[in-house]
Amino acid sequence: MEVDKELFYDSDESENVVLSGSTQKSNKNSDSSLFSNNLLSQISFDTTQPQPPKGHFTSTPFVAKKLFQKEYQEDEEKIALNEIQNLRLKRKRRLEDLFGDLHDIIEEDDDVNLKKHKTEEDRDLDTIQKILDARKVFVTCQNPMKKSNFDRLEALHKFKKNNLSSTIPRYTFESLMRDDDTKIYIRLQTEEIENREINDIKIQKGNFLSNQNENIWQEANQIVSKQYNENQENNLMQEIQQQREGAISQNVDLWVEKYRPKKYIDLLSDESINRSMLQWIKLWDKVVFNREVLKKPKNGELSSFNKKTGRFEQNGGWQRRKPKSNLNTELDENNIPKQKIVLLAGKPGIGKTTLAHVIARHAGYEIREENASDDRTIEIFKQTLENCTQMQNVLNRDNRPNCIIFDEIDGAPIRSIEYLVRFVSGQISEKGKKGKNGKKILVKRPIICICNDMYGANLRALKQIAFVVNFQSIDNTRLAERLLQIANKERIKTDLTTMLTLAEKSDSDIRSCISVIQFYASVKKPITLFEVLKSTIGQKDQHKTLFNVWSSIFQIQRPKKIIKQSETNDQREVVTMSDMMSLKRRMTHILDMVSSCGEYEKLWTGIFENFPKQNYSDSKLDNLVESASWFCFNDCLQNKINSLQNYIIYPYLQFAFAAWHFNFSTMKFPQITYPHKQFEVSQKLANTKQISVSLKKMLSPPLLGFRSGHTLQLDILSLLKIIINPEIRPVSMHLLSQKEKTELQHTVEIIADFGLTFVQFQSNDGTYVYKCDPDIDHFELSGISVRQISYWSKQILAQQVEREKMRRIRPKMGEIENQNAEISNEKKTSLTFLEEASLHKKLPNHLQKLIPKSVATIEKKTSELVYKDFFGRIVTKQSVTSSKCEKDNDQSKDVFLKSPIWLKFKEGFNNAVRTDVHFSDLL
Amino acid sequence: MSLWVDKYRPRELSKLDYHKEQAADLKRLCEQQDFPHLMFFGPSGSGKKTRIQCMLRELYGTSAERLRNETMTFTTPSNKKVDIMTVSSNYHIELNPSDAGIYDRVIITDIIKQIAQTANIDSGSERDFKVIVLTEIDDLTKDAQHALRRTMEKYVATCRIILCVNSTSRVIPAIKSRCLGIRVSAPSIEEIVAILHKICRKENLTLPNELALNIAKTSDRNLRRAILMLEAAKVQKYPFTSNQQVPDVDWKIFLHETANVIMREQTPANLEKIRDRLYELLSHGIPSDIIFRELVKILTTKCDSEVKSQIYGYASLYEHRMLSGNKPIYHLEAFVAQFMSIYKKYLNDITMDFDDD
Repeated sequence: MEVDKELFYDSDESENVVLSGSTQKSNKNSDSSLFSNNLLSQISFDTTQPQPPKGHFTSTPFVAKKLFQKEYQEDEEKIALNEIQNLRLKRKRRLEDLFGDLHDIIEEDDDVNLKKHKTEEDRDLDTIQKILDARKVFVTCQNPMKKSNFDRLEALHKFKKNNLSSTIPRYTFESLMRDDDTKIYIRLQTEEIENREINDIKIQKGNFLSNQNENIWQEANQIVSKQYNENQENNLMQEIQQQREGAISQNVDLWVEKYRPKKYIDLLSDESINRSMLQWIKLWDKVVFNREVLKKPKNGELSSFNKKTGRFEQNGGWQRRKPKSNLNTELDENNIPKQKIVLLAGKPGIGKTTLAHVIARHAGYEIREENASDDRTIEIFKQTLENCTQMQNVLNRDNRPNCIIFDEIDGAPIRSIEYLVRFVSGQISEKGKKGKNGKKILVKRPIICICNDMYGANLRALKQIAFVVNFQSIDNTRLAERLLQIANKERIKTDLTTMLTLAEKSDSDIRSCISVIQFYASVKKPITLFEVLKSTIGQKDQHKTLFNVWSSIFQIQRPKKIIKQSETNDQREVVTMSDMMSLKRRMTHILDMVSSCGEYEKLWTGIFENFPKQNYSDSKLDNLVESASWFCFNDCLQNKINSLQNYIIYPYLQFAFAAWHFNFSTMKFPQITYPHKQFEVSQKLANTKQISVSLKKMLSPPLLGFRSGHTLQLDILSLLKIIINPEIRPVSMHLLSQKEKTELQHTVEIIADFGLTFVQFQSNDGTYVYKCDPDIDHFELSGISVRQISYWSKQILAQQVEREKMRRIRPKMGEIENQNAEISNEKKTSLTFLEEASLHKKLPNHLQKLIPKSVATIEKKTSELVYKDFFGRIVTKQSVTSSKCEKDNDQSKDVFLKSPIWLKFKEGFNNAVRTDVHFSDLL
Repeated sequence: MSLWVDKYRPRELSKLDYHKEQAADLKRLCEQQDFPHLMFFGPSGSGKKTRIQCMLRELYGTSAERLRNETMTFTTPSNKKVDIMTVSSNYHIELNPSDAGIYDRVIITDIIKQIAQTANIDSGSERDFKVIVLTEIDDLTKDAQHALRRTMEKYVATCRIILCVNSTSRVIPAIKSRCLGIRVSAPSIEEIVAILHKICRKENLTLPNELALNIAKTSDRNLRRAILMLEAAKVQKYPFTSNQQVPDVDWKIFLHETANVIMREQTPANLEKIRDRLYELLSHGIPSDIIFRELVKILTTKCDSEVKSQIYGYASLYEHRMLSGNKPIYHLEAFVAQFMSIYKKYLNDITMDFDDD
């Protein structure tokens, strides 16, 4: 708009207007933009236009020119100046024309004055004044609406000063680019002002505006309005397009999604893993697509295949330590692979899900994903499994078979996983047809499970049937290369080392790396090494594993890049190699590591069991002594914490690790094993305790009192082993001498005292051996050989012990027998003589029961009464049989033993309710 | 009853073979109507239990010898069922609360209280109190010991408690002051020899005096061990010869070998071997303090007197730490490492001096 105004401002000179108008037209043709650069330069020409040529500039003040020159100097445009000068030459004549008559007038006037009043100076001055006035009048008469040249220049300059600027002005502006790549800022005026100005001009010029000018004005107006509309339309179109694009681009806004590998070739993960996955999924080809599995490798071929991949790995420079592929390539009778599930396990952000998706799509499957965001109850699992494996998506054009991906399966409830396992192993029959008729469901679609923690308790069952693929963390260099590619695509300035550091920092987490890059892209900063190291972005709260901490304790860390505040005054931080060898840094590093792991007790157990294997130099054993006392310290501290539950002192535990680090660390790579010794010892100790308890239980009461505490382990057992192992001549028992017999008897008694038994069992090599029960051999210390007696001796001992035990039980029985005998004797006196008669009848056992009847029949009523009184408290039938048996006591004691009566008097330790109970009272 | 150690155990106070004066005192104590709580203390194998048994017989007659085993079950606050074995007669009960491990306090508060609360209503017995024999009180936790002290006072009317401890140092003073302490010192070598001869006479064996002396010496004045050794020696070789090898308890032999390994080489690698051996002992239920003490004893006999004092100093330090710690293996190993360091320096100094000469 401003330019328009400019045009009109100068439009009093028709020639000029035409010129500018034509340029405008040509501009319009070449460039649709109204504010083209050419036009702008045109403006500056216009401004220079009124400048008079140097030679004729006597009367006009130089100030104006200087001002202009200043502006030029400000612009510092030499080329423009040249152009302007050229143009100036062009207009020279015109200006001369313009001012020419003026000169004439002045010269003429001077001449006249000189001629007429040569002597009188005052008159001269008057005439000069007159002339000047006359000239003014003349000029105004000549061009009534035209301001003086100077006025015009001044006005123009003022206008320009107000509305144009080469630096950023305060007012609202529109910036324009000139063709010489400099910017000019033009003031934006409101339309009101514009109209007013135009009106001003119109009023001023009024009638003087010729028809031609009017036409030009209108034409210009038209052009402007047309262009304006066009512009508007364009803008609108662009906006719409942008919006449309925006809608699409929002989906791919997250770079993690945008740069997710779409093809197999793009995968970042280890090639061997990719291959084995692909191999597995191709095994399904037979059952799913009904085409032969391309490679049907036998075992030999399989191994060669593995070898191939192995070689491939070496060529490619991947990790040497290849996880041994445990893929079972066999198919079962239904042409379904034996391993129906693949379990992908690995850290987050290394591309497990991506791999699963890519592989499944690559092999031509439709992916059905089930992840932690879904409800994962057993019913849902059931439904998903059935839907996906039995049915097919009919709506889909491709008609691809399903492939189920259970993402984040380690979060699923254990019952769901159990169901999955049962489902896959074919233990679930179809609905409605229960029992034998029910057709077993066959899994005919591949299932991929993804988890982070393979060792979770709920995955145990799954691991056994699945083809487990353990994801190693991906190669940092490869990741860095990929990151660099992404950065280049997004036009972010960075370099490979920075990307490497980023990959290292994020612990090879692709996702977090890309997020970091995107973050930097959003703040429009180049990513430098310094930024990566300094920033807190992209740092994962890392939980160090036990092995990480152990190895960092036993190994002196290599130097690492860190940020360091430089010592100089400029306060610039520089990236340097850290001095990991400095004690302070090592200590802080260890403390960090240890506290990030947290499991102190396990940690120091591991150190305790691993430090003797490290090759640290310790000639004077000082390190050892110091470390050992640190172990003591930690043990005492831990005991305090455990017993008092006082966790205030807990942080002190970690300092021992620093001490151990200084004492044991070497530059070598440490060989670390998981500590198990203490666990084994504690298991063994528990076993020992159990055996000693069972030994004590077998002891007879008088001995037990003397076997309490540790005396059993300390004194008795080791010597007992010698005592109960006498050498016996390998002859038959009756050939032994009397002395030998008594010795044997003595040994047997001891064994019986301890309640030991020799149990014969077959050992692994087929020979029979006797083993002691409870196993006192367990107490044997390794390295201490106890003389082992021959199998023969043991056999004799075993037999004798058994016999001795029988003998020992008998006296107890005998006691009861005796008691009973006494009672029966008492009874005998109370019994009638008739009974006594029956007692003497020698009858076989099975007939004895009949006797009471006969007795009853023979018995008198009086005797019966006696019976009733006597048996009043006890069931009659029992009493009858018992009485029968008692009667037979005299004849055969064995009969009594076999009788159904058993007396068991339960004694308590408590004397409070103790009363004398006689046997007779019980009968 | 056929191990000699049980067979020839005296049943009556009057038949004890040593500490006869003390036996007479105990007898007089029993003859009185009442006596305070007793605490028998002394080293292992000195005859504490024998004396307690004799006293019970003196108090209650032969019926105190009619013993029975009982397993009592109690429930811990955490609802865990724990069994404990007891031996009891009509007049007394004997148990080892430390068998319950960390639940020993529950035994004291529940079971012993329960026993102590109920009076003996059997009018037939001569005494109107029961006796509770508690063994290995020094292994009790502090909590349990504190629980015991109130029980001792409160139920003094119905029961007497006889404690049997190895060392009074681990018994809290409150309990010590509530008991009449009776020290049963270990029998002297001569006394042991005499007893061994007596047993052999009864068994119709001839025992050379040298062998008896040997056995007595190797047994560390532990009478039980001495008698067992005698019997084991008899099984190994009879008739006895005077220079016959005395069968020692295996863990001591094991410790001797361990000490030899320590003396032989002082390197970290060797320490690992030692650790395995120590683990072996610990896993066989040999108490850590006994291992420690025995090890120090053996090591100090093997090394020069110059370093002995230093070693004793460190030994006491590490043993103290072991008691306040949880896992004895650290402390045992720390001591062994310390010993190795001291011994190695000492050896180096000797060779240096030798070189100087």
